[in-house]
Amino acid sequence: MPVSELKTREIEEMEKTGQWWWLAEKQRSERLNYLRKAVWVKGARGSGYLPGIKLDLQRALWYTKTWRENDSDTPTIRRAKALASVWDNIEIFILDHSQIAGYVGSRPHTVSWNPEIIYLMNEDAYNDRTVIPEPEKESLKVMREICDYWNPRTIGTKGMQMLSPEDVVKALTGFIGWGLPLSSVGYSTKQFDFFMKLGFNGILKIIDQKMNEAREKLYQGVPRPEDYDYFDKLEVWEAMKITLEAAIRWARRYSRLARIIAENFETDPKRKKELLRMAETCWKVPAEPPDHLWESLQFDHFVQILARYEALEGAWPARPDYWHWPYYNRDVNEEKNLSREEVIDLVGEFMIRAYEVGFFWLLLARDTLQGITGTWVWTLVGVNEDGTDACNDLTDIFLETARLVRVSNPTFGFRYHPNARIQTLKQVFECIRQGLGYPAMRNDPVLVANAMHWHSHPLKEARRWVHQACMSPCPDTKMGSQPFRMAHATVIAAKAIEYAVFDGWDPVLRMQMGPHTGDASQFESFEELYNAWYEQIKWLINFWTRIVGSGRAKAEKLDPRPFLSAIYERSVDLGVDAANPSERGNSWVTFFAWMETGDSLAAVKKLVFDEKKYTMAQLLEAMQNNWEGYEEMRMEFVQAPKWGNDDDYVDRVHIRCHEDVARYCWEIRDPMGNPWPPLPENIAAYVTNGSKVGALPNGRKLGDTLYDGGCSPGAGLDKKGPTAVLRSVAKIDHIGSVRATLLNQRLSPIQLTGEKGFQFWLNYIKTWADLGIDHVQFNVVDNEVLKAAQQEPEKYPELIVRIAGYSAHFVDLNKKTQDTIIARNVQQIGG
Amino acid sequence: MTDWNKMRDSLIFGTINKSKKEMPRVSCGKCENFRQNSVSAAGDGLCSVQKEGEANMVVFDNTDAGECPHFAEITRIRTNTSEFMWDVHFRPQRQLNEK
Ligand code: SF4
Repeated sequence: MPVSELKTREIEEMEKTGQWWWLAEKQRSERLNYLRKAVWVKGARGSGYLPGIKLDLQRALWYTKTWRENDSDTPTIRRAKALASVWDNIEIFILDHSQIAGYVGSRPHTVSWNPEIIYLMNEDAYNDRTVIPEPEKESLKVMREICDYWNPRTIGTKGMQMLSPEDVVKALTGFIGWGLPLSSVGYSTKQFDFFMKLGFNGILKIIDQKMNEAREKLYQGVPRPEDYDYFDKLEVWEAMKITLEAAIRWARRYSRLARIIAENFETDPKRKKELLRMAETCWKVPAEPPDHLWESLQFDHFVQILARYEALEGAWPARPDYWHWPYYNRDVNEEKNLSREEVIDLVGEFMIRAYEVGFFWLLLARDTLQGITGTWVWTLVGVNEDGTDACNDLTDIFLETARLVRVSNPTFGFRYHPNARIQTLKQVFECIRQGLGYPAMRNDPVLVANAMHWHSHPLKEARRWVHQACMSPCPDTKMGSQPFRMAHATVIAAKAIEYAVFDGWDPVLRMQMGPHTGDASQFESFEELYNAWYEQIKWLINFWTRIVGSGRAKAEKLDPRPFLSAIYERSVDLGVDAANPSERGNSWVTFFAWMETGDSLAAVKKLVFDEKKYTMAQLLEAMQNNWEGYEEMRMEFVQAPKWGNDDDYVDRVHIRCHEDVARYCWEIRDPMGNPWPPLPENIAAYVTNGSKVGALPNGRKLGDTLYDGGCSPGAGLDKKGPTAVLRSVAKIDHIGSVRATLLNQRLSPIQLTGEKGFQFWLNYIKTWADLGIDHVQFNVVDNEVLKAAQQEPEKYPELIVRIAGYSAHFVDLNKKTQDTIIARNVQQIGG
Repeated sequence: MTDWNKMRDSLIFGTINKSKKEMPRVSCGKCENFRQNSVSAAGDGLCSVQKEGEANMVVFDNTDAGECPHFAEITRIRTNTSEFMWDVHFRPQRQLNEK
């Protein structure tokens, strides 16, 4: 029903209660309504999958069978053949009313299980009480056989034996961060201007040509010394060919299925026509380049799904309005093949199909990404390569459609720049106002300059950046596309404070983890404490970059990605696996629980060293006792100056930490020769890591949640309003000190009504942009609504909240995480 | 001196082989001192009391603790994965019961 037909009173009522999803339901087409409601949610709640979600054993069975049959092949060819057999044999389905095909599993309610990756995930799955498919006894028997075959052989098993034994033991605790250095769990930027332009047959032609040239060099006359590398390249190209050909066959199985349904079972002529168009589309793409929007979206979706059969890609770098615009323009504006409503149906389903994707993840990923499968942050707008505004009508449609389908994944990151057109900004505002929690706003000029500073991307390529995960910008170009999740170098930064205070000892684990930096009870100056902290944080950075860098350097042989390689121009050109570190590079170190650092150090500086109210020995004792019995003292540490209030005393400490860490991160190098810039943020890790980080000098106790952002103040600690928050955050150099940093803000829904609300928000955004801050995201939902949703979750199915770097449906979160959203301060802007 | 090589191998291969063993009546998984690794719910972890050199001893949720003098019966076991995430009392493995 169009919105104009809804009773004004009814709409006003919905606005008042914040129940925007009822409005969405009335506005979206019947098709979108069906598809949206039929989707199985794959994100974990707490750390478990929702009822009804089951492991898909088919991929595991086919992959294992073919892998075992080809034991004389090299890992690259073996992997390509194993994948090909999955694509040739796994059962496929097309959903009713659907126009886009392709899922990473044999049933819509399944999560994929990739047993070749790491034995820990296999045992995790085997132990899980909820996801084993019925009949459970039989499934467990099959799983046991698969686990027993793979566990000694997984990529992780081999990779861990290559690393320092001490590093492996400490890493496995999960207490100091994470960094699975495997391309099989790595997400990759997709180079759209390569595969979409050529189609897979076009790439196959190039590969054939390269293989012929290589054979000529090797098989005729006497090869030059460097020509012998072609033996390795031939193998890589062969593996690419196996996967591309199998991918075409897999897509054409969907084509045949659509035709079979249309010709044998479908009675509705309209649906029959749709199915026949699907049959044509899936026959054509990805084999050939697309010509129409329905083909380009299908092509894109197939590529994303194929990549997820190969690896658990936990992010989804994309810029859909940019890459699909030419097809939209042709169909809607030039040839008038598609109406706006038809486009919304296609775009809506394109988002729903992405939302549907699920894998079985390790506990650590389920905990920290609860509510979603991975951070599917799609990038909108920004500038074109020549610097002009990239807003287009398809951008507006993506934003409008997001409000209709209200999925929590994908979300959008909006590349804001001063020339972004107002009509599109209004669409952005409307998404935020309607409580989607996205788009996150990204400051485009700052981030373009940042990409040039840290990774030397040329200006034109820097302007092609997309969100590599939830925050980090990465160009989607031939030499910029990043095939491997280097952000796996993730440190729990607050641990460095604990270790500085306890001489490297972990009071929760009760083990020496960090280096000895001295008995802090004897420290006589703030500088001694600061230096101890700096040693500990450098140790953490070294620890994870060493592990991840080693993984990246060896992944080409240990964990090759034949399919991903085949869709990368760099890999096809050079005849190297995508995991080969030959791209320009885009590594970063994620800092979880980072802003506790400055707040903790500043509290000690003030109360111990400046005012001498307490001694270091007293502080150690209080922290050892988790502040139990020291409540009065704790309150003083809580009330010490805190970040987010434009207070130079504490802000200076924060900035010093940022600058010193950035300086160090500039010195260390990744396997591509680039620095490892810091990127502070938290996904839902601020909740689960709260049980691993002990008492801190900012007054926090073991078990309390950590700060939720990368540069956000602690929940409830920003007492001086939004401008003071922005002023504090603007003191960080968002180009030189961080690769990006995440700012969460809550705004009042009432304040954002109407044109006045838009102007308030726009002025806020202009100030934020002028201050050079790289990111901000908003939660616009009242506590009353959130509390009501805790009481009656069934009435709030599509209520979305921004966590930190991603959004989730509020009712899909466990209570502890829900409470952290409620605890954030609501800011009043303007007015 | 900590034999990190041995510890790493015990963690990796102990996890791989642990499913072949039954859950004993008294196990490390039922002890307050068990720090289950939080990367996965495979049941691997370290004892926060017993040492191997400077480091903590490798144990598993189903390591027999019948003879351990430091066994301290856990006060709480959380198995509900839809509400709980990793903490020192989180034991999602199917062989352990809510407490
Ligand atoms: S104290 Fe004994 S029973 Fe408890 S975890 Fe350690 S080894 Fe196991």
